[in-house]
Amino acid sequence: MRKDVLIIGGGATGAGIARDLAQRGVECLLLEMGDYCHGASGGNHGLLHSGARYAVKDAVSASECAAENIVLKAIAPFAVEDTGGLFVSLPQDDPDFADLFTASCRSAGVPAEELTPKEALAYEPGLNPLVVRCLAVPDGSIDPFSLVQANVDDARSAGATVLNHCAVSGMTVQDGRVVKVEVRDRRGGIPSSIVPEVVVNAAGAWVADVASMAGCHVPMGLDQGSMLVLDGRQGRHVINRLRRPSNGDIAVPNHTSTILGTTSRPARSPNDVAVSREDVELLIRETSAMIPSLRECRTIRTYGGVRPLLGGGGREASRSFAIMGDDKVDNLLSVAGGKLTTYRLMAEKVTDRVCELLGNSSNCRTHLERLGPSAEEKGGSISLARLRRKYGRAATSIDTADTRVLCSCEQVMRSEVTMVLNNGDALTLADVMRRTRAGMGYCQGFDCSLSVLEVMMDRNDVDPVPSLNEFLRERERGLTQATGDQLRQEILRRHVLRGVYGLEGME
Amino acid sequence: MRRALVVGNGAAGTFSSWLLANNGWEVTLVGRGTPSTAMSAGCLRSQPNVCRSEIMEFLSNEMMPWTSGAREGLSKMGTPYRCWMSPPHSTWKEGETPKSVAVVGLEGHPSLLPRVTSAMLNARGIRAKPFILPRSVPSEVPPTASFPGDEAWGALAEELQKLPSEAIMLPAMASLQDYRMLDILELRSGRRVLEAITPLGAPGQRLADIMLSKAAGSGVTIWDGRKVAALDVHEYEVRGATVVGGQEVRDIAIDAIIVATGGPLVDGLALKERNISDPFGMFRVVRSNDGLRGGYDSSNGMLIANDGRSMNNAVGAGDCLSSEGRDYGSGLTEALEGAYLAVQALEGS
Amino acid sequence: MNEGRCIKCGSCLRACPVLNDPSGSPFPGPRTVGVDAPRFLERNSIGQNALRCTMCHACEWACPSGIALTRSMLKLRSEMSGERPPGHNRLLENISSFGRSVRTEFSGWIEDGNRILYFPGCIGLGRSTDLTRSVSSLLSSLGIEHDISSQVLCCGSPLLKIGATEVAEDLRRRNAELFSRYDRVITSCPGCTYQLREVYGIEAEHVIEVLKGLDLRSRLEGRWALQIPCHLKRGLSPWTGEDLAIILENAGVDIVRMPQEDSCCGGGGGLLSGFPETSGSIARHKVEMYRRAEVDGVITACPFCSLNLGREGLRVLDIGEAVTLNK
Repeated sequence: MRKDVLIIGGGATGAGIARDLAQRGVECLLLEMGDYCHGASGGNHGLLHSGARYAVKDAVSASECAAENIVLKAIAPFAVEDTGGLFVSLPQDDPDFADLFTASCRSAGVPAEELTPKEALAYEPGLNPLVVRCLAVPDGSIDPFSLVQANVDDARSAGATVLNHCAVSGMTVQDGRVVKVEVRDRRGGIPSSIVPEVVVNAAGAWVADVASMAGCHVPMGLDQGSMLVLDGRQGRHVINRLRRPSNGDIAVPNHTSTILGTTSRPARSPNDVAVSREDVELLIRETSAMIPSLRECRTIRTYGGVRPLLGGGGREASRSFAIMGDDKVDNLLSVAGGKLTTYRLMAEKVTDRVCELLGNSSNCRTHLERLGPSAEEKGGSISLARLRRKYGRAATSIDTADTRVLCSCEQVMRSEVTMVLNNGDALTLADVMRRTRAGMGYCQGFDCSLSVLEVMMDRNDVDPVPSLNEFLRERERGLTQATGDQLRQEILRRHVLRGVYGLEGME
Repeated sequence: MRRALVVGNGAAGTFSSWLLANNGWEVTLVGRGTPSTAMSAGCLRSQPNVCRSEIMEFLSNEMMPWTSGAREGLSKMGTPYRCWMSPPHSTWKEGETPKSVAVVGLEGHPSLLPRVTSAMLNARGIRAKPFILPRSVPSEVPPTASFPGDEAWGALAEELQKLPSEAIMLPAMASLQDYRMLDILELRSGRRVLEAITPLGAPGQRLADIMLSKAAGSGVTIWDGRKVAALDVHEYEVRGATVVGGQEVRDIAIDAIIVATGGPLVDGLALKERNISDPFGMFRVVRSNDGLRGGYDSSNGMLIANDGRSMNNAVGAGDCLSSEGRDYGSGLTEALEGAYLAVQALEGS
Repeated sequence: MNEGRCIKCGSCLRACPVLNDPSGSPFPGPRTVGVDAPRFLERNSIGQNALRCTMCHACEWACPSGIALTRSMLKLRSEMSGERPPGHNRLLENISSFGRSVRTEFSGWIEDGNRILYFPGCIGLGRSTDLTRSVSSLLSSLGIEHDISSQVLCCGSPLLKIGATEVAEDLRRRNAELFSRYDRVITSCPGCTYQLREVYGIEAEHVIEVLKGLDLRSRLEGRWALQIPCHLKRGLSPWTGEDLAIILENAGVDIVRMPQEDSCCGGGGGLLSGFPETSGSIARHKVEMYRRAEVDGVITACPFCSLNLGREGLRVLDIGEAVTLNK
């Protein structure tokens, strides 16, 4: 099949590029080997940066974040919880850093307003009463799954073809060009090779692997970061530590939980996401210094993400991004680096380059066109009130006459699951979970996973056992560190799944 | 008369209190919250060795008979479930597996998922087809409440008559009072009626209800909704307990105690991080890597005080005891046998 | 608030009288309202059906994790936005007009400067004045001389139940001074007793607590079952709940014990005023149970229980109507 542009990678970057290209009239196909947000887009903090965090060390990143922060709040208001953020310092922190921080924010164009400790505590009652300095910044919380799906939907309505569960398995290079790309797909719908004009390698942590299929070398580092999900929204704002960036600096309220992060260590491969017990202890220790009550909260799950970083990697590497061509291959562009907050800008720059190559002179409109409505909704139930936040525009295609709830932790209705299955991207239980949030709550699918499976079976010929095993295995990854009440939940889960149902492979 | 305090309202607590009362003790049973017993599948997986006849007598009641032997049934997921003793509609005699099953469920209700379960049954050679009842019941409503009254059961029987299979698998929807309805359904539909073996539902609740009413019937004073906050211990002997209920606190004097408070699931053992401990702060606890298996240490049935010496009049029974090497699924039988041995240890002392 | 302890066992759902009521009330259930809802930014949009709870504490008693479900659901009520059910608006109008949740019918005020106050509560001064008169004369016969003050207004408990926390606080302020004039406050409604103890900090006594251990007798014949009020057993103390039976047995009443005698009558938590169909359905099914047991009637110790079960045609007596001093 011929295509003008083949985009490899369905994270925020790839989806953003597909949207931009399609809006500019370029025919494109995006292939994602797993589900969208398979890599770092699905394994991050969910933080919409104000840019403050980078102001001191990386002014370019900081300015980019500050600008894109405003853009994303305007184009994707449904996906953003505009919580605001605080940077707080404690007695043990370097007292000189705060002034450096403030000055750097100012010169990078990041809005930052100082609050007195008393004001800070009124603004965020759970803060450590020993807070010394406090700066308010426009941080927010963003849902990457909802954001990326909206980009995918928008790209499609502008003419792009976007497919998940399709992996690129090989490339043929001839006369300095990629002439053929082989695809292994789970959908059975498209031919197994593509002939592209331009290939955009937006595969995140897999960029180097994909580039090597074309014989190209992309120098990049892989860095793993651990995150911890606490039950309940602990805090009204994003809370950051006002010190030189270290581990455990951030707590982000997101939907029904609070995400604590993060750590940094070299990753051996894009799949090296493992979280260690030391990471967990560190995250709780450091973040509870800012909000003491975090120590008593229930940890629902841990997860890790592998960040693709330019150059050597590590905390000191630039968070900015780069678009890389290669001497040997004309039509392969690899894009690496960056962060979720600046995905749209990254996509714009890549799209500009691609359009140059294709001779297309249309202007970018992705910062102007809305991805969806804002989230304000008053419903007759929590489920109804949350539809726009989770699905943006697609919320209107949910049958709200049937209000039966399927997942009580996240108040997900059966009709949401039906809508998601109708949409066509969700092939597995995990795919449905990512979109509806069923199974993401404190019981981690204990109550609802079978019910979701039942709805899936009503619609397609799904073999329940492998689907269930895959989903439960993925849940298990985050639960190996279970403690306290989450461990009690885990004990009950094992009683039921092993003790009564006799389902093996749950450990 | 010797006064015993039994702490815990599950299988171990109710059985030991019943045994003590039958042996002439004045027994008070203090418990709060739903016990693990009520969350179980409501069957005895393994055969009791030590006190089989006592267990049979304890569980016999007017509303629901039991069957025992080499039994097999279908879990709510369609996987096989083998046990020794179960309610009559939960299992068949091993070897008499039905060849075809209609898996009946309420539309969208989690109590039985007909399509998932049929697929699981078909995968292991039992011909199964889903049959969805048209009643729409919200997921939070327990299935036992979805068939109120004789009319509803009658209508259900009508529906079931249409099914061509040899057996009908139903969600766990029969409360103890309604259990006979399953016999009637069987009669009127002309099919074998099987109740899905379901945790966290009617079967476990029935079992817990039977046990509690037998204990009450034998003269045990049941203090429900109350919790033992502290124990009065002198020289390895428990002399009294402080019991809290609502806004009131009472102290009682006792001659012996059976601690049958359950595991960390029901707060019988305190759990912090991955470490369990004794909520009373009195008795030694054996830890284990698996949060499931740790519990009280004991010697000849008696609990061990913190300093390592054996108690004189305090025994433990059930999930709160340490059980390294215990397999999943033998919990109820072990709890009952352990309770029997605990009573013996007490009476022997 | 400890709703973070939930392990999804569903025990609360199986214990809830509203979820288990055959009328199919659209109550989301104690877990949705008390455990799940608090996590959401959007929880104030939960909708009116979340109010269909009688605050009977059965869920709390069933919870293996000891979650304060009732308290959590009550807190959510104060956060809810949107329309109130008409019955709750009427309640607010009544309080605003004359300071009681229902119209006052009682006229036998006693304002003699006694040191003991008998506080019957709104229902006792409204529709169930017989109850009030019999308790009053029983107290007198026991030598407990008391005032029944026309000045004391609604204790505020129903207002908390409908989420009107400021109105409840206002009532408390107005009542507190009056209560402070007395050494002892006796109530016949367990809801009032709980409110006075928890919110006012007064050591109020329920009639059952006063009667316990006294030498009483009864002229009642026939077999009587019990309705042990939720707020007596699960609000004040389970021992006090048991004392209802003990007092009656000692007085010679032929009591029939039943397993569901302590289940909710359907009258509490604002359900009676807000959702009368659900309240009535729960009461009807309870009454069915008593009828099947073929008892001559039911004895209780709460004006709401008396009212709600009595409306379904069951003969219901309050404790004050069942016993007298044994002379």
